[in-house]
Amino acid sequence: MTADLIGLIVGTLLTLLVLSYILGDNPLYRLALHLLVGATVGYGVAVTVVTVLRTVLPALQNDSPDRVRVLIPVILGILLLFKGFPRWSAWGNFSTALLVGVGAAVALSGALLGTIIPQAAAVGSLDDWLRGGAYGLLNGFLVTVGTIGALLAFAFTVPRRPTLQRLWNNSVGVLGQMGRLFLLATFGAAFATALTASLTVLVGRVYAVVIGLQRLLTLLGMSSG
Amino acid sequence: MDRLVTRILPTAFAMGTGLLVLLGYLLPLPLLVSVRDELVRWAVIVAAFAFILGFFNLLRVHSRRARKSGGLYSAVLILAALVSLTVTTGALLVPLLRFLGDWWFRHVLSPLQATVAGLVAFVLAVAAFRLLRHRREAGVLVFLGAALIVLLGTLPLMVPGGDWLMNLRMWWMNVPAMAGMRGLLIGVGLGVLLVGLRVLTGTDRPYSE
Amino acid sequence: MIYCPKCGTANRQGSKFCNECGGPLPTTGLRCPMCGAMNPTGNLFCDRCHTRLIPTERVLPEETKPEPPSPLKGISLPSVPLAEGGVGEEWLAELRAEAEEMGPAPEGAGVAPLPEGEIPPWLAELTAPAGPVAPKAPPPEATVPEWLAELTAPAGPVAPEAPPSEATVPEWLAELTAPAGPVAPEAPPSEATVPEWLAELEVPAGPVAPEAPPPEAAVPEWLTELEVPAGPVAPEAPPPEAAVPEWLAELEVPAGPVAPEAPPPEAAVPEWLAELEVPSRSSPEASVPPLAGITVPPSGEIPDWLREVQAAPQVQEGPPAKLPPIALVDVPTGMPAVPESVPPVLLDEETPIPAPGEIPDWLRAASEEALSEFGGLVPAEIPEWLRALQPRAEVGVEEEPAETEGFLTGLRGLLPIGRGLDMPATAQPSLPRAPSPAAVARAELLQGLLSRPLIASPMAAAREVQRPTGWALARFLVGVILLGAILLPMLIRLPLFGPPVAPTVEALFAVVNQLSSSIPVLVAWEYGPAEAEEMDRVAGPLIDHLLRQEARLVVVSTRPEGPAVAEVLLASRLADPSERPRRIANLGYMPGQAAGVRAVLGNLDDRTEVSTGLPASQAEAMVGVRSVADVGMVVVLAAQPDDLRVWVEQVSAARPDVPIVAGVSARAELMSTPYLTTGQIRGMVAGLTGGAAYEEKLDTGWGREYEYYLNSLGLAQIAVAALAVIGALIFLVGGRKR
Repeated sequence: MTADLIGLIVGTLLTLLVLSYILGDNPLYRLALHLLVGATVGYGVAVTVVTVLRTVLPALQNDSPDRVRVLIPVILGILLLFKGFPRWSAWGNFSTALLVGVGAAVALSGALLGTIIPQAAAVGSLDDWLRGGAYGLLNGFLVTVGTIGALLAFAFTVPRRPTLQRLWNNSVGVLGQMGRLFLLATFGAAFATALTASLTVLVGRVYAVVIGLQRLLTLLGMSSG
Repeated sequence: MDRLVTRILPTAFAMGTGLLVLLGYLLPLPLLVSVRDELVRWAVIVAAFAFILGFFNLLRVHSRRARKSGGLYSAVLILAALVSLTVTTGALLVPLLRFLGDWWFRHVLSPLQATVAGLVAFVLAVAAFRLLRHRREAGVLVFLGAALIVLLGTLPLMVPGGDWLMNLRMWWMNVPAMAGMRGLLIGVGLGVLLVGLRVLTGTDRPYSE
Repeated sequence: MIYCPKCGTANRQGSKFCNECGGPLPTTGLRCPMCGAMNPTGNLFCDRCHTRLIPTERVLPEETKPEPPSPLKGISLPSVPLAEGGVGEEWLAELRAEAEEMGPAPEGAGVAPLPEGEIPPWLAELTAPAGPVAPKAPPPEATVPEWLAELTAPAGPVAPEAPPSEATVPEWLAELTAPAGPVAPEAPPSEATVPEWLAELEVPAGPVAPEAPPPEAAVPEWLTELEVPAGPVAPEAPPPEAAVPEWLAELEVPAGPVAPEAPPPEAAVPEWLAELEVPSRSSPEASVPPLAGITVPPSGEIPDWLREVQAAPQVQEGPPAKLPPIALVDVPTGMPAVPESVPPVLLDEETPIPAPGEIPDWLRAASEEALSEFGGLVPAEIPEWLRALQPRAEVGVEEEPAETEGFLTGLRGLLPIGRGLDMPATAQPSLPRAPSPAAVARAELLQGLLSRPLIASPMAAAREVQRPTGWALARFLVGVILLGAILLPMLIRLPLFGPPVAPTVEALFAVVNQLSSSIPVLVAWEYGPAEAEEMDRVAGPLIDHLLRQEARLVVVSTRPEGPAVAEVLLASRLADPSERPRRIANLGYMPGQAAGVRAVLGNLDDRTEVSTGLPASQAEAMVGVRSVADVGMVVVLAAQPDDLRVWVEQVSAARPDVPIVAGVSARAELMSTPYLTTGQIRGMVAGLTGGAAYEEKLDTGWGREYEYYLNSLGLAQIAVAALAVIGALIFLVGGRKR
């Protein structure tokens, strides 16, 4: 109970410190922000260390083929720590190379197999066009034009030859302009959804503060009275 | 020799491991799949050490700042990091200390993170107010219109035309916004593809000097 | 020895502190400030880039002390001017002493005639004797060296007995001579500034035409007076212009035709030249002594040889018949005769070429024998224009160290170092030139501007004051409106909004409903405490539904806080805590983001269950589950759009047949719609409204809390929309702010 009460007070206080930003940037807000960063990073490192230990130690203790399989990445990980010292940072090059190489391959494969191919196939699919009659046809047309236009909105290179340039401007240029409109529609929607998510969290925090103060007052009232 | 160790061998290592992982994705042969999974497991363990390295770097940077004038904030950051590290490690390893970790998580970490995330709403609201302050173009009006439609159509308003607004929002999210989002997704995917190929062919070498 | 990096003092090896300044001494090595390489403590220069490691402020005992400047060998011109009032050069002193000791050199003594046919034509042309030039006060023959006597042109009338033929006068010299009449013998003697030997370099001119047309403006006056006048020139030499030194004004070509004397046979070597021949080997003075003992006089001093060459009063007794090649008007008194041992300038093969810096024997002999006869060459006063050409002492020039190796050993200053190439850190600053008055004025103006306090205009100051207050007030108002909109539904029940509608929830509901009992479901918990206020209300009903379907939940997260947040929600949603081990396996945090997702999909066995600490393979909820291939569904609970994208990509690439459903934040709703339309995501619940709709569908009884949240959210959204419209109207009507 006492721990909860202290925790309630601490939590409410920290919430008010952060909300003081509404009045403008101030030392209390900065203090709370630095506290947040430190606590978050410390927590993350603790969880990471314990996770690694829990993964690695059992394998190292057993006399199994897994020992070598775990020892190599552990050695590479220790070498990576040398990146923090400029003089010996070259020792961490292999570890960084492993991270970059594997990370690039994983991201590349996922992007190709999980996004590019399915999404490109969906653009050319007639399902959207044929579903829902005229309404569906219009929607399908808009989706296709919008997708292609959004891609072409980032086409900034232009052919050199004047005839090709004219053709390019009339086709790709026009589609690109339309694509920019679709992109603006997307960004406006993204702005609104992000605002909604943040408002939801703010509502929750304000409620938590109100409820916490209520509980605090109740507790203080009970203790005094 | 220096060049061999600092540039050539790491490049070859990155290219080799990357190509093996890629082949494991594209050719579902058991050997390739097992090699791929092994390399990915190694990368995960090394990534954990990267996080730890980042932590040490943060401590080093802020310890320098703490010694200068106005370094109180950095001192607070370092103190909070060390306390959080100690409490959480203890809670995870020692069952008796779990309550301490729970308390720290529930009454310090959660309120701070949640309130900062909620403050984003305030910043976005100010940004919405100042939207047309510097640029008065048709594009900005389209942006504002889209934002208004999605905002006001989230919940069905108990006013005449409230349903219409909700349906409009639904259409907006599924057709023009989705079209633009798909184009962005394909574009991002192509970008990831190109960057990955550059790394796998050794053109980009962010890991060597 | 260890050199102190602060003051450069050398200290004993093993010392920790400098004896001089007390600063700490490097114990392990010296780091180069330029390239960063580590060097041994005894290094003065960096091994890699040759930057100086030790400051040069102090004289380092172990370094070679700079030697006193020694004369440069082989270079005859003094590199540093002679000191004033002194002789300076030893070799000159030797010359003088020799001259004093020696008597007049006998005719041709010690001088071997040049063999026939070996005299080059140019030299043969220079064999004209003094000719009609007779010295006004010729020194006794005993005092004037013969070689020097031959070089004198008498001031007075030149003896026509041996006029040099025209053929012997070089063209360049002939062109410089004006065929003037005889120079007046009482031509004023040269000023003290004209050296004697140079003053005698004149052709007794004939009458100079006074009406010689003045030259053009571009032609200097001294040159015009060297022109060939049209007619007979007046005997009086025109008074020299202010810019023309006397000695040069008196350079006049004899008016009369030069007697076309037959050139002396080539074999007949003139005396002065004959005496300049290589002496015989037997001559003790034949050896050419080196110039080792010669010292360069200090800067600012006129060499003795130059000082002693005085301008003697010119005496011209008549126009010389011919211009001697090098003619001295007068031979000053005291000039010793050239000793016999003076070798000729022309050397034959037998004569070794003196090494640089070495004094030839003939010169040394001359200095010993003839200088005494010269009685010390009476130093001539140097003309102003010549004084301006004197080499000046370089102030502050550092003595270059001598080269220690290679073919330049012992020499200095040939390859200057330390000027920014190899020692940039210690390069000496160049002396600043005195600023011009204009530069001083500009500097003063700049200083005045900088020292002036910044005073903004009253309008700008007022505007500056207004802006912060205005914007701070606007921010405060926005915050108040937002908070008011959030708190109002708590105080007043506002029936503003209807029940939430989410079409995508229907599809999700249907997919989850199809799950069979005890089927393992992989739950990707990709949110932390920051988003928990929203995501708990999105994930809650979905978890509820899955637990209702008797599914086994295998929870994993690529965010460090994910497992802890999952534990809190799972504990609150699980009706019977005892069923926890059978129903839920929380496998904790997986680092690496996309690589971590890939690793999880490939193998779930090597994880550890968070709540029990058991290996995943031993967890009850993990029976039969080793990878994603063994699960019936993947549920992605993502607050950030990128987390959703990574999971959908990796699962689609690994196991496209495994269905994916998503519970996402409102922020990630837009990202999920393309995947929904392609079928990669089978169903989705997004945001608070979607969670409320799901709760409605499940009929869980969480309605009241949702009502508060929804009303507050809706009202806040309307408030923000209103603020955006008001702001747009204000700035549209009010004008663009720059």
